[in-house]
Amino acid sequence: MGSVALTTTELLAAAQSILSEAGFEAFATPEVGAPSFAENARVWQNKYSVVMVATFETWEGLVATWADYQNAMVETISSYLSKGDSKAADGYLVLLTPGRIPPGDTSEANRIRSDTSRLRKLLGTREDVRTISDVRKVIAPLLPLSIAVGQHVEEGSLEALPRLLERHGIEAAATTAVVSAFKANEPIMQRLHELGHPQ
Amino acid sequence: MRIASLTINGFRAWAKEITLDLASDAVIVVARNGQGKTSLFDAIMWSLTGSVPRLGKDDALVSKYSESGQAFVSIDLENPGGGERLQIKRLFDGTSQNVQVQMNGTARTGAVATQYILETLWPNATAAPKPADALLAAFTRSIYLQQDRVRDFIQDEDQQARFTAVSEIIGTGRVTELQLQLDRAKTAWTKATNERNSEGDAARQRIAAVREQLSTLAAGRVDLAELESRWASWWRQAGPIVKDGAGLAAASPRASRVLDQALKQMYTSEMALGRQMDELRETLAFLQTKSPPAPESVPPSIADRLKAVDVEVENVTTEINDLRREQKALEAAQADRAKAQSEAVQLARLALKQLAETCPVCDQTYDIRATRARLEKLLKGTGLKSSGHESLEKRLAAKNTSLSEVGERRLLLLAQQRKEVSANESLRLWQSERVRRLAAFPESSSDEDVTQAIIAQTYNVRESSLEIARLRKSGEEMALQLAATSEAQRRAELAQEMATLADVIKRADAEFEQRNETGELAGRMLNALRESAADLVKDQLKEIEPALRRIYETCDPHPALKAVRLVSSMFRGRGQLGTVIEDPEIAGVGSDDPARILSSSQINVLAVSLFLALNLTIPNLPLECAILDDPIQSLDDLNLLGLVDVLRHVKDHRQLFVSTHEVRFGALLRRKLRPVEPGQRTRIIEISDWSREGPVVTQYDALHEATRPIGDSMAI
Repeated sequence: MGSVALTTTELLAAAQSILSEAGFEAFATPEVGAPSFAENARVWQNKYSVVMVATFETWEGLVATWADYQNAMVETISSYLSKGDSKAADGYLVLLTPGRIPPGDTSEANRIRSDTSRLRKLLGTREDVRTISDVRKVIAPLLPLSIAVGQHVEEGSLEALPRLLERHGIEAAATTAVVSAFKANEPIMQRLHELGHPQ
Repeated sequence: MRIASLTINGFRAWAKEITLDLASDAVIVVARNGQGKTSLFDAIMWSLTGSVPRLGKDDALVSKYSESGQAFVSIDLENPGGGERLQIKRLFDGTSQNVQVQMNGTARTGAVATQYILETLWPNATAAPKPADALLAAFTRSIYLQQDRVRDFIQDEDQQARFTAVSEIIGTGRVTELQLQLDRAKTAWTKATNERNSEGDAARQRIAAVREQLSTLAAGRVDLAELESRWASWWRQAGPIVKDGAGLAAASPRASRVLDQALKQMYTSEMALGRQMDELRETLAFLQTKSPPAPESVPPSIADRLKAVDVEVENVTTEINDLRREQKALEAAQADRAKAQSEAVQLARLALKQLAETCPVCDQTYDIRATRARLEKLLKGTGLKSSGHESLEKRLAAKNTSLSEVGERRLLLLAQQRKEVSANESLRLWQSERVRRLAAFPESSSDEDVTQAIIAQTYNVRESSLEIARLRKSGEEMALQLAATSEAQRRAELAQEMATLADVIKRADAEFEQRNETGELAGRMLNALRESAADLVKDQLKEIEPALRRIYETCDPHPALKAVRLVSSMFRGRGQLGTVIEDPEIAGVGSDDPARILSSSQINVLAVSLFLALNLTIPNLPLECAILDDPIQSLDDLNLLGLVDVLRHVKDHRQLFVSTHEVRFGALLRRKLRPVEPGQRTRIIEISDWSREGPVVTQYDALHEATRPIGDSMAI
C-alpha cells in the first residue's frame, strides 16, 4: 500500500463535493450564516437525511472521539425529530481517516460500523479511502442510486439483434431483413436472398 | 404500469371482500406473521399470472372461510402518466379459473383475456413455448421477491439456471424462436437449392448428350445454292420418268423422301427395261431356231396296229380263260375222285381187317382172294389219275407264252405312240411361240424385218436404261448431299441447343452460387444467433452488474468483501451465471460461492440486491413495481438500515411494495419511505388482527414530511 493517502482536508472536500452533487445542502443557520462545527466536520442535509462528515488524522483519534461527534449530531437532529422517531432513520455519521487500522483493532472498526443504536455510522479508513471515488463508495448509502434504471424501450430482444450480430460480422441490413420477415411471418430466406441479390 | 387498487374476496387469508387503495409510490404492509401479508402479494401475482406455484393447485387459493367458496381477485393497473386503467378480474369457482380483462371499454374473457394480458404486460412471453410460465417467471424473478424464495437465486440455483432465468426475463425467447424458424427455413432453402441444382444437372447431362450427337455428325459445309441448282436440273431430266418431285425445293423437308421414292421408281423402270431387252434378245434368238421335225408316219398307223394287237390280246386271253375254266373243272373232278379213292382206301383197309369167310354185311360167301387183291389194289390207289390233265396244262402254257409275246408287242407300240405325240406337241408349241413373238411386230412381214425391228428396239431400250442408270447415280449423289444438308442443319440446331443449354447452366450455376451465399449467410447468422441470446444476457448483465454493485455497496453487508460482480460464461453451448464477492483491497480474496462465505443475513442482502438490480435494470418489466415480501428475515440492524436506504432510492424509480412482520421496521419504513415532494404518496396497510372474516385492516397515507432545516448550531 505505498500510495499517498488523502489528507483529512481532501477527504472532507471530496465528501462535500459528492454530497453537494447528490443534492445535499450544507447546513447553515439563519443567524450566523455559516456552519460553526469543528474544523474537521461538516453537516449536510436533504429532504430525507441529515449527514455529518467528520475526518480524523489518525485511527486512534477517530476511536477516541467519534462518540462525541455522534452526541452532537443526535442533539442537533433531535430538534426536529419527534421522540418516537428513530434517529437512525434520518441521521448519518460519516467517519473518515487516512490512518490505518492497527492489526488487531479490526473488531473495533466493525463495532463502530455495526453500532446502529443512535445513528448509522459509515466508516472509511486508509484501507477504504485512498481515492475520491473511494469516498463516494463509503457514503454511497446516502446517494441516489446512480444506475441506469431500465425504462420502457422500443428496442426488444429482436430489435437488438442487428447490433449484436454485427459483432459476428453479419451486416445489420441482413439481420434487419430476417427480423422483419420473422415478425411479418414472411419467408425469411427469400427476404434475405432478395436483400443480397435483388432481382 | 403500476398497481392502482386491489380487491380480494375469499382468497387465502382474505375471507371477506376488501378493496385496497394502492395508487401510491410505496406501499408498506405491516402485520405479524400469519395475518395475510404474503396472501396479499400472492393475490397480486395470481390476478396477473393466474398462478401461485408455491401453493400448487388453485384449490389451495380458496379461503377456508370464503362465503362463496370461491377465490376472487380484481386488480386495477394504471400508467404513471394517467389514462384508462386496465382491470383484470380472476375468479376460481372451485373447479376452474375464469379471467376477464376490461380496457378501453372493452371486456375480454377466457383465452382472449389471457392473451391480452400477455401482450400488454409481457410481450416477450408470447414467443415462449409456455407463455404463461414465461410471464410467471419474469414476475417472480424481477417483480415479486417471495419471502421463502429470497435466497434461491444465490444459494439454491446453479449457474446455468441463473443464466436461463436472466435470459427469460430479458426476453430471449423471441430470439430463440427466430433462430428455430431461421434454422427450419435454411433447411428448406438448402433442399430447394439442391433441387434447383439438379435442374442444372439435367442441362449438363443434356449438353453432354448433344456433344455426343455432334461428334457423330460429319463436319463440313453444303452449298445449298449448288444443291438447289442440281436438284432442279435433275428433276428436269427425271421429269419424264418420275413426276412427284417436280416443283419441290431441295431445302424442303420432304425432299429426301420424295427423292428416295423417285429413285425407287426409277429402279423399277430400269428393271422393266432390262426385262424388255431380255425379251427382245430371246425373240431374236428364237427367230434363228428351226422348226422341230414332224413324226414319220408308215401305214398301218400305230393306232391301227394297236387295235390289232389289242384284238389279238383279247383272243388269246379268251382262250386262256377257257383253258383255265377247263382246268378248274378237271381239277374239281380230280378232287372228287381223290375223295372217293380215299374213302375206298379207308373202306378197303376196314374190309381187309374184317375180311372173313362170309360177308359181315350180307353174310354171304365170296371170293376172298379176289376180294383181297381188289382191296389191296384199292389200298395202293391205282387207276384214278386222269390222262387229260397233262395235255391241258401244256396247252395253257402255250397260250400264256402267246399272250406274253402279244403284250410285248403292244408295249412297243405304245412307246412309239408316245414318241409320236411328243414330236407333234413340240412342233405345235414352237409354232405357237413363233406366232406370239411375231405378233409383237405386226408391221414386219418377214423374219428379216422382224430381226431388224428387234435390233432397233433393243438399241432404244438400252439407251433408256442407261439414261435411268445415270439419273439414278446422280440422284443417289444428290441424296447424299441432301443427307449432308440435313446433318448440317441438325448440327446447327444442336449447336444452338448447346448454346442455350450453356446459358441455362451458367444462369443455374450463378443462381446456385447466389443461393448458396444466402444459405451460408443464414448459417453464419444462425451461429451468431446462437450466441446472440447469450450476448443479450451478457449485455444486460453489463447493465445489471453496476446496479448490483451499487446496491450491494449501499447495503454494505460485509466489512471486507465489499465488491460483488457477475461472471457469465458459455459452457457446452449453455450460459452460466455466477456471483462473485471480493475484497477490493486484497487481490484474490473472495468467493464465487457467496453462500459458503456470507452469513444468512448477508446472503439475504446479496439476494435482495440482485433482485433489485434485476428489477431496476431490466427494461420493459411487466409492471413498474418491486414487491418484497418481508425481506428483513434474518437481517441484522446494520444490514436492515442499509436495505432501507436502498429501498428509499428504489422508490424513486419503482412502485415499491414492502411487507414486514416487525412493527419497528414498519415504522422505519414509514419514515424512510415517506413522501417528501408534492404529489408523492405512501400507503400504509396495517393489519392489526385476523379473524375468520379475514385481516383487520387499517389503510392510511404516510405523512408528507421533509426534514426541516436544522437551525441550531452544533459545537464540538
